[in-house]
Parts: sequence; C-alpha cells; structure tokens
Amino acid sequence: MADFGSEREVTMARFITNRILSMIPVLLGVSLLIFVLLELAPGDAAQTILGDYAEPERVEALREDMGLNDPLLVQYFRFLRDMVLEGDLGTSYSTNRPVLETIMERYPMTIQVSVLGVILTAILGVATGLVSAVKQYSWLDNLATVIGMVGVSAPTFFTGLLLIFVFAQRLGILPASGSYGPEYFILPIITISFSSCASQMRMTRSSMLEVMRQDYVRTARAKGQHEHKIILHHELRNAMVPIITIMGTQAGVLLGGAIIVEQIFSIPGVGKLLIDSINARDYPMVRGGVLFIALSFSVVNLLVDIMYTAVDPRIRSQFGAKRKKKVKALSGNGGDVL
Amino acid sequence: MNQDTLLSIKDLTVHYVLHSGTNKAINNISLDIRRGETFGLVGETGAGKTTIALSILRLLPVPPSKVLGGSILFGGEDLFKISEKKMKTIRGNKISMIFQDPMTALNPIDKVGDQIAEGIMLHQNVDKREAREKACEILEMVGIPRERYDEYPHQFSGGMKQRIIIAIAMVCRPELIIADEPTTALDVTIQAQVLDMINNIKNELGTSMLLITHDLGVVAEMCERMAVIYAGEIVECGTVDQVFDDTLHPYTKGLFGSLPRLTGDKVKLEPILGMMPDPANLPEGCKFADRCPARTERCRRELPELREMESEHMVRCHLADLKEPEGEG
Amino acid sequence: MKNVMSNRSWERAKDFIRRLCRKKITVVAIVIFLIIVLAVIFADVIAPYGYDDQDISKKFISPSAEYLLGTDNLGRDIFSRMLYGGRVSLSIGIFATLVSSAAGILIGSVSAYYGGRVDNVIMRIFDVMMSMPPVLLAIAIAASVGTGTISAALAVIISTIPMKARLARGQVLALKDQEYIEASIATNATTAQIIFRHILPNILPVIIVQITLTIASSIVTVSSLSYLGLGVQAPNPEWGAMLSAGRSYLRDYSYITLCPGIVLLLTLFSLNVIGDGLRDALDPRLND
Repeated sequence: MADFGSEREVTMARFITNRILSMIPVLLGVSLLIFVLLELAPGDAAQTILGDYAEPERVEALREDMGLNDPLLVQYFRFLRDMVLEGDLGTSYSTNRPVLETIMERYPMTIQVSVLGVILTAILGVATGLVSAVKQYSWLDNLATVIGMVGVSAPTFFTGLLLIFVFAQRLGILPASGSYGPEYFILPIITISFSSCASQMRMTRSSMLEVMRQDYVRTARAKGQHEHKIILHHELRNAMVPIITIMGTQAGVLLGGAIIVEQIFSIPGVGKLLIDSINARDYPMVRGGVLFIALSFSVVNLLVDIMYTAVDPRIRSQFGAKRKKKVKALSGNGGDVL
Repeated sequence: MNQDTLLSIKDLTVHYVLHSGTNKAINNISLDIRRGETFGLVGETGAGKTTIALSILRLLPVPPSKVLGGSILFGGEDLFKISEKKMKTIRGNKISMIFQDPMTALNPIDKVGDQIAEGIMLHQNVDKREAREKACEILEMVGIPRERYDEYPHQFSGGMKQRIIIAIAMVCRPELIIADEPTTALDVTIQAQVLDMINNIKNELGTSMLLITHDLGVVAEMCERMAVIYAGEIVECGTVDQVFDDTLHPYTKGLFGSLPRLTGDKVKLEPILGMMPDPANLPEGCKFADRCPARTERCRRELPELREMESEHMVRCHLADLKEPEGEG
Repeated sequence: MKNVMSNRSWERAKDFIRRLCRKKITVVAIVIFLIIVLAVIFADVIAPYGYDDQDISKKFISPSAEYLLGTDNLGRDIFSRMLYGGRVSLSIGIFATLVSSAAGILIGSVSAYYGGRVDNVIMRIFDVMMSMPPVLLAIAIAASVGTGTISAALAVIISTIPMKARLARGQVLALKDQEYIEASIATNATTAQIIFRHILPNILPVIIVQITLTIASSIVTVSSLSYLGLGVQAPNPEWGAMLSAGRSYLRDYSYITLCPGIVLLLTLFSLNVIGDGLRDALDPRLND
C-alpha cells in the first residue's frame, strides 16, 4: 500500500481496487437506508399481495411465512444474505417474478438514455462553455449565459412537456412517447440533458475564466505559443478538474432525471419501474430499483475519480478521494438538483 | 540608434482603464539597453516596472491596458507595429522573460521537461526527440539532473522551479532576457545561487538583460547601467557607479539612506516619509514633491525634464542643477 | 450580535447592495421574484375564484376576461389555482430550505467543531445519503413517509440536509484553525461566543447564497415529486401537480400546463439569477 507522503505514484490498478472496495460499505449503507425507509412506509406487504379483501388470518399467515414478523435487523440480514450469496433481490409483490429479472430487462433502456444524455452534456456543455469563456463579453457569451440560466432553472419535467408540446404536438415531427426506434430517444435525451448541459456550460466557463488568469498561461504566451494551443493545451486541461467534478454531479442528476423522463415519455426503464412500484407498494421492487440506481451512480463517481487521476498528476500523488471532496465543497454547487 | 543598442524604448506611456478610474501606470519612459549589458531597473512595488517588462513583449492584459504612445525598437522594428504573428516568433526566442513567482509560473499538469521543450519546438526546426535532448542539456546547465525531465512542477522546490523557468527563458539563446524580480520570492540563501546562475549563463551566451528589482544590492552586483523608476517615470539613470557614487535624485538618495548597514557606525535607518502617489490620481509637477525634503513651489507645479548632468547620467529634478555632481555616497 | 452592526458593517452593507444591483438582470430578477411572492401572499385578495371552485359547465375555457388564464377540465380557474399553487410550492420551498439549512448548519458545525468519532459517524451517514442521486433520495423518502403536503416537505428537508451539513462543516473546518479563533480561545471566550461572534459571521455570506439557490432546488424537488404523484395531492394546487394534471390535455388545451409551468420557470430563473448576483456581490475579488 503506497504511503501518503511519498512521491511515488499510486498505480492505477491499486487505485481502482481501492475505490471499488470503498464502494461496498456505501452501497451497504444505501441498502440499509432503503430497507429502513420502506419499513416505515405505509402499507403491509402481505396485504398487498393477497389483495384488500383477503381474510385477516390468511394475511397473518403469509406474514409469518414471509418472515415479516421478525425483528428488523434479522430481516435485513436475511435480505443481505440473499442478495450477496444468491444474487436474489427478492420477489415482486405485484408480479411474483424475481426482482432482479425485471430490473435487468429494463436496465438497458435507462442506461441508453442516461449515457447518451451524459455524452451530449459533456460535449455540448464543455464546448459552449469554452467558447463562452474565450469570447468573454461577446454577444455569444451573453446569449449563452442567458440560455444557461434558463437551462439551469427549468425543471426536467417542464422541459419535457414543453418539448413534447412544440415538437410532437404542434410540429408533429418527433414522437411523444414510447421507445420503438432511435427517433423516440431524441426528445427524451434533449430533455434529460438540457439542464445538465447548462450547468456544465456554466462550470466550464467559470473554470476556464479562472484558469485564464493564471501565471502559467502568461508563461506559455511569453514562449510565443500559438493561441489555439494555449486554449486547448494549457487552459482547458487545467480547467478540467472542476469540470469533471461537475460532470460527476450532473451524471447523478441525469440518473435522477432519467426517472422523470421515463415517466413523461413512457420509456420502459428502471425509473418508470420505480415509480410504478412505489404506487403499487411493491417494496422489493422499490428496493431493487433504488439499489440499482445507487449502484450506477457509484460507478459513475468511480469513473469520474479515474478521470481525475488521468488529468491531474497532482491528484495521482495524493489519492483521489480527499481532493475530490475539497473540490466539491469549493465548487459551491448547492443549487442544481434536478 | 547606436550600433551597440539592442532595445530602445522611447516615450512609452501605458495606462490601465478600470471602472474605478484610470491607472496611469507608466508615462514617457525612455531607456536603451545595449548588447551584452545587464541593465537594472529599480523601483518600489507599483512604480511601473512590471508594466514596462510586459509592454516589451506585448503581454499586457488588453482590455484594461492601453498603450497611449511611444515605441519599442528592436532589431530595426517597432515592436508595437509588427503583427502578432511576428511577435510570437520573437517571444521566447529573441526576447524572453523570467517572471517573479516561480510557484505559479509553471503549468502544474505538464512535465517540466516538456515545458522547456515546448519553447524549442516552437522556434527551432527540430523533431521531438531532438527537442527533448536539448531540453535535457539545458536542465543540466541549470543544475537539475536530466532524469527529472518527466517530473511535475509540484515535485520541485521553489528555487528549482525558478531554475526551470530560467532554463525555459534561455533555451533558444535569446538576445535579451527580461528578468522581473527573479529572486524576490526565494529564500535569501537560494537567491545568491540563482543570481549566480543567471549571470553565468548570460555571460556564456552573451545575452543582454533587463533586470528588474527593488534590491539595490543585486543591482550593485549584477548591473552595468541602471535606471530608477518612481510613480511611472524614470527619475534617474546612468551607470551603476554614477548613480551609486554621485546620487543626484532625492528619491534615490532616500533609497540609499534607508538601507541598513552591516559595517560602520550604527546609524538610525532613515525611511522616506509618506507613500507613492496613487497612480489614478497623479499630481501635476514632480511626483516625488510631496515626500521630498528639498521641494520648492516650482517642483509642485512643473514636471522636471530628464536632463543629462554628465555623460550618460540623467536625472529628473529641478534642484539637481544647484548641486555639485559629487554628493554624499 | 449588537457589536456586529457597527458603522463599518453599515458601510459594507450599502456597498453590497450597490454591487448587487450592478447587473441589470439581477435587478429584473429581484423585481420578478418580489412580484410573484407578493401575488402569492395576497392570493386571497387577488384570486377571483377559490382554488377548488369547480364548474363543469365552464370547463376548458380559453384565457378570457372572465377567466384570466382559462379553466381546466373541472372548470376551475387556472389563474386562481396558480396563485394558490404558488403558495404551496413557494412556502414548502422556503420552509424546507430554512429548516434544512438550520439543521444542516447546526449538525455540520457541531460535527466539525468537535471532530473525532462524532464527526466520522455523521459524515458516513451523510455520505450514504449523498451517494444516491438527489431525486432518488427524495423519492425514496417520499415512498417512506407517504404522500401529501407535509410528507413532501419532509422529503425535501431530509434530502437537502446532507449537502448543507457538509458545506457548513467545510467552512467551519477551514475557519477552525485560523489564528483569530485560537486567540479567542486564549481569551477564554465560551464556545457559544466563538460560534456566534466569529464563525457565523464569516460563513454567513456563503450561506446566504446557498439559501437562495437551495430555495430554487427545493421548489424543483417539491414540484417534481408532485408531478410524479408522490407529493402534494389533489385537490391541493401546486405547480408541479398542476402540470401533471394538465398533461393529458396538453395538445388541445396547452394553457392548463404551460401557464403554471412558465410561472414556475420564472420563479426559479429569478431565484437563480439572484443567487448568482449575491455570489458576485459578496465576492471580494471583483474583476474589472
């Protein structure tokens, strides 16, 4: 294990292993949290399964059977054991099918929408932020700033409805729901990424402006370096750390937004499954859904941490986690949730 | 223009236009730097030294700064009139600069060797391998083992960072190096080392140097000619011997008077009372008048011209007339 | 806190207001927000109808003199519903923000100040909460506490606390080691005095900016939850719920959805602009 004070770089493999290992307690924490939350939730599992008109004795018998009368901790550990040892996330109260199976069917859809959303955000957000910063105060910058503000303020569901109204209903050029072909994904992806794109643009712009004032940029100019190389090689690369931090936060927001977007556009993903399950009080499914989305989020954070080390050698020497928390705390991102 | 003269600044005036007022950074600055010489530019913080340095390389931050007049002649051309493209061929190549703060002057995410090689590849027709080789050579010249080419700035101490910056400045064998307070940010013990190194390389390459500093000791050691700048104007200039031994301007005298002495009788330090005027609110007449012990009415009203008192020794003071050019030392 | 409001502070306050109003858009945003807030507060006076006055015979009327923004599928006046809905959205947003900020600051500051195991445990819990996408956390809590206005508020509060606590903790940690705090300890100031006289005034500017932006995000959370059916329930008006209800009629009667939507957007937009303006005004390193 590398010691923190030394100058030797932590090898990538070790770093990744460490991060994956640290994901485990967090995910366990999430599973415990959701378990506890659902315990407090209204509704009784056995009642839900048997329906509202079942006799009380049958309900009670089923409760015994399902182990629902055991103390909370026992139930939790049973759940953990099933999950870890057999990959069993429980059985849906509504459909009686294994939770895992249902989730896996719908997972790809959510991933598609999210990943494409992230890619769009990354490319468009960074590009517009870059141009905005380099051409500060120009009309382009001002326009982008205003659009950015609107984008950051528009809740996902409103953006979705607006887009449906304009493009599906008034103009009739894009479909409003379903997922039968690539064109069905255009509006959902725009909806999901409009807000993140705006956040990304603003962060890129402010990060770039910060970097552009630095002394080492002046040194590069004093060497006679060309403008485009100064922007790309010296400025953008140094601006990347906060940019990547935001990308991580936005990926989380995007995953959350996927839930809403799936609802609006009737896309059969894990998000829609989650909402439907909550309404149906199908708690095993809710647990599974939450865990899966939390897991996805953790993986995204891991990828973001890896990107940090690739981009900034100072972080390499220092173990990503501490640095990222500092950057996160300093980036003041208290406003963007959805 | 003298054959010997490498760079000639004439009547340079640069102001910074801000929301809060216009900062008249430098006004009518003229000075010449000759081939092979080290020219010292002395002044307090805020006197305008860095502005002069940045102007030469056209590195002034353009929205606030405005060049209101003057020319900078180098190699037969006015640097203000050539294209940006041409200017890029001069920066880092014919004229290069060493900045004040080594801690922030290097790109933190680039290898140090690459940062030196960057300059080589920009101005010399060599491939990557050769550039790397040359960078290694100059690393060794500044006393850093070539194996450290692939390391990053945060792995070096302040003094070593400054040496890397010197290497970057020297690598294309420039005709003129502008060193803006190269040792101010360093420990005293390292200062001597770095200054020595600058001197050696400079002598080896025959480079001229504009050495900007607020430290008179450094000037005494390294420079042949010098100028003293106050509130954006040159108040005295000449050879180092002249200015040190036959000090003419009251401000310069004040500077010497406020130097602590290690030898001789213990004399009380005599600081110059008052402060440099606000560059946004410069007075008419002599800028030093408010703080000058010998001021007259005329001083307040009329800006003195820079007059030559003896060969090469110029001063901007009405009263220098009335004194013998041999004063206290 | 009487010592804080000295002459110097007054000067700084005036300076601050001047800097705040430098950009036109910030002023515009402040005006818009005030208009919306006032309209919502005086909803009883301004609204021509009650929020649940149904008149099926008058359903789907387009915006007109009688019904300023038209009526919905149950003949309810959209304008009135929008005003009352604003009450719900805004009050939950502001209330939730204040509660979560206070709780977050308290927890974060105490955690940072005492450090050690207490700090560790609390931060671990918050880490877990923050390891879920924010929406997800809110949804999970909503699933747990049920639907309804109060539950929605609770969900927003609980999902916002971790971030607030972490920010406050970060600020306090940064200040804890500053020398003037050590000096205070050396002069035997009590813990409360240290916190109120020294720590709080210094973290206050950051907190004010955060509060503004958090009100915005809280409103978004509440309305999103309501849109999904997990928050405020019918017939209580709430902007998000109104959008959800109007969804089916989007094609033919778009005003049912678009009107509350646009007002929601304006509210959030002005809050964000104000937050930005506050941030710029409080930042001592103003560039020219």
